[in-house]
Amino acid sequence: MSFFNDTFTGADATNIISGHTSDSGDSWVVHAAAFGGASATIFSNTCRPNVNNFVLINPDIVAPSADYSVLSRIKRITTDADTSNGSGIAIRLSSSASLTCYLFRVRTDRMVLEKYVSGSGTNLGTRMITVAQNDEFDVELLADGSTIEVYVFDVANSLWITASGTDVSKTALFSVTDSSVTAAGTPGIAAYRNYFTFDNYQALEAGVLHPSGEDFLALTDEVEAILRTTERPEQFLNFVTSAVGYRGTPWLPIEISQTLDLVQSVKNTWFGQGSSDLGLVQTVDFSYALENTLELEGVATGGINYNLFNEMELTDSSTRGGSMWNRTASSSLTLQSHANSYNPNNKCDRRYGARTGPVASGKLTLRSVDGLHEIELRNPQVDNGRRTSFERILRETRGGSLIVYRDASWPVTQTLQFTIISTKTATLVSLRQFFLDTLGYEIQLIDWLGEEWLGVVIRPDEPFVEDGEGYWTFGFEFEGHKVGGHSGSHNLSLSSEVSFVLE
Amino acid sequence: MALLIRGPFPTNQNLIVLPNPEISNTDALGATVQTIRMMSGKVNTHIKPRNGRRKMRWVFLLGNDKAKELEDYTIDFAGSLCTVVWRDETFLGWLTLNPFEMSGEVSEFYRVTLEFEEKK
Repeated sequence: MSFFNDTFTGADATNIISGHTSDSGDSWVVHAAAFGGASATIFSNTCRPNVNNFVLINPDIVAPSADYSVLSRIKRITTDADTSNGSGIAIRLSSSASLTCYLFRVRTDRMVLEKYVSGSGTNLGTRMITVAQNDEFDVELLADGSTIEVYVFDVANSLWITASGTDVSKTALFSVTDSSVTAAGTPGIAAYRNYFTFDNYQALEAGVLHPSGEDFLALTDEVEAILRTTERPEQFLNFVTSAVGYRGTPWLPIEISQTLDLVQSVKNTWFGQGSSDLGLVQTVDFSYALENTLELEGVATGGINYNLFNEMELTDSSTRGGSMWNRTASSSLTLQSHANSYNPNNKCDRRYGARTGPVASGKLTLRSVDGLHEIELRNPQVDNGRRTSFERILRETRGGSLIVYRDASWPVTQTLQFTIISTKTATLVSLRQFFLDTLGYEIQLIDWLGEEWLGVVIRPDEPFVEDGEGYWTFGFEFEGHKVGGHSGSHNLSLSSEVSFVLE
Repeated sequence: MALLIRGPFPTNQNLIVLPNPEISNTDALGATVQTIRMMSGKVNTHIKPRNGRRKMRWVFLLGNDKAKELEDYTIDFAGSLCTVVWRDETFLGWLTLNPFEMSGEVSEFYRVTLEFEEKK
């Protein structure tokens, strides 16, 4: 929970010490350790220290506990260099005139974390970085027990400054262990002259959700739980909607729905850009199971004429915004699982009707690798078989335990079995010649679904049987491997793309 | 209720969901008893309890795509421990049937047999 915050809203030149009250209702005071004449004023709704070699101001409060965070946006507004002092925020600032606190400051060539004990300063960390005019950073200085951490977010580049570079994820710039300053004290602002301004200054208790979770449903807020205990932080966003029909009128339809909209709008600009992201991300150290689940579930019990469906809709729309501009819209969704279903004609007599899966539109084709020999056969009977056998070790120990082992490099043997009926004599002659021409050689097999295999016909000596005058039935086995890895229909990809050019 | 197969244990990062198997699925103990009759007429029994592990066999009727997905899954995890969840029971073991066979049925369906033996 925030126990102090100030956005420094007010008229320019308002004295923050004497003429301004913070958003949380407290006033600012000049700290006893500040140089004489130190003060600060409001400048474009920010706090700008005056031209003093050591401005140190603090809210006129005492922090409720020694464990809290101080946050502020710090911006360099002048071209003046400052490589020796810096401006920043303080935590656990004691009221003594002998400066005692943890202090994070930004200079024009570095960022430093220091501790002061009775006026004596010690450097706890330095990060060399060029800070130019108008660079601004969201800074958090955290004190939790003996843990002192600093987080710095580069606003312009949307990156966190780390000890060695930058990161898209929140990463501490400094993280040290120090027990020199343990009293709660107050938060504060320390500055060398008026080179930097401060905005959105707040102090938050550690160990609780911050910012406040009351504004949970506003998707522009970031809610973060930081617990430095063995507790497990959990966050829940539950939408529960239920409706109960009127007794006696069960035929009256009742519809309930829930909507989660991620909407951005950019106007009056040539280069507007917006994006919605729904990310399910967990990161843990060491060996823990990570699981993300996006569940679309429909359940209907009883009733009459119920329909269940889940939809995941990806929609992009692009409207004319000017001449000679290309606009594209695309959505892509790749699924790697399939639903198995059948359509019973009636519940008592299950007869398999329409099937799921690809439509057989091709022919069974055998072709030599050099392309010189090819034969197209009619599709085999539906009792075709596929056999996959593995090389692996299966052992039982003396204690009765079963152990199975297979090395990933051990071969997998796949065999296809086909039976083809009603083949005319002419086709049979061609097939027999094809077998002779490619005997023992690797050939290409393309089935009626477009699946491509490379392998060898291993039973060319299977007899052909003449079932009718001039019509033969035969079978053969093909041992090989699929081309391109997994089944051609294993992945279901959906994509749509629209592009147009206006002139 | 679907039959879920997760693997490889313990990360369980892969999941395949299968429909209920056909009736006539089997569930057997792995334990065996061998009787030996002595010349004196006494009968001794030699047992192999095999830690009480079970061996199950299921037959599924799957569409073309699902059958091939299962085939690919079996190839990828033929030697890996996997977890099977069915009817509120969870089993840890291996898919032991070798070779894995798919037998075509009407209209691009395949009948597939899976054999699963617990690790105990």
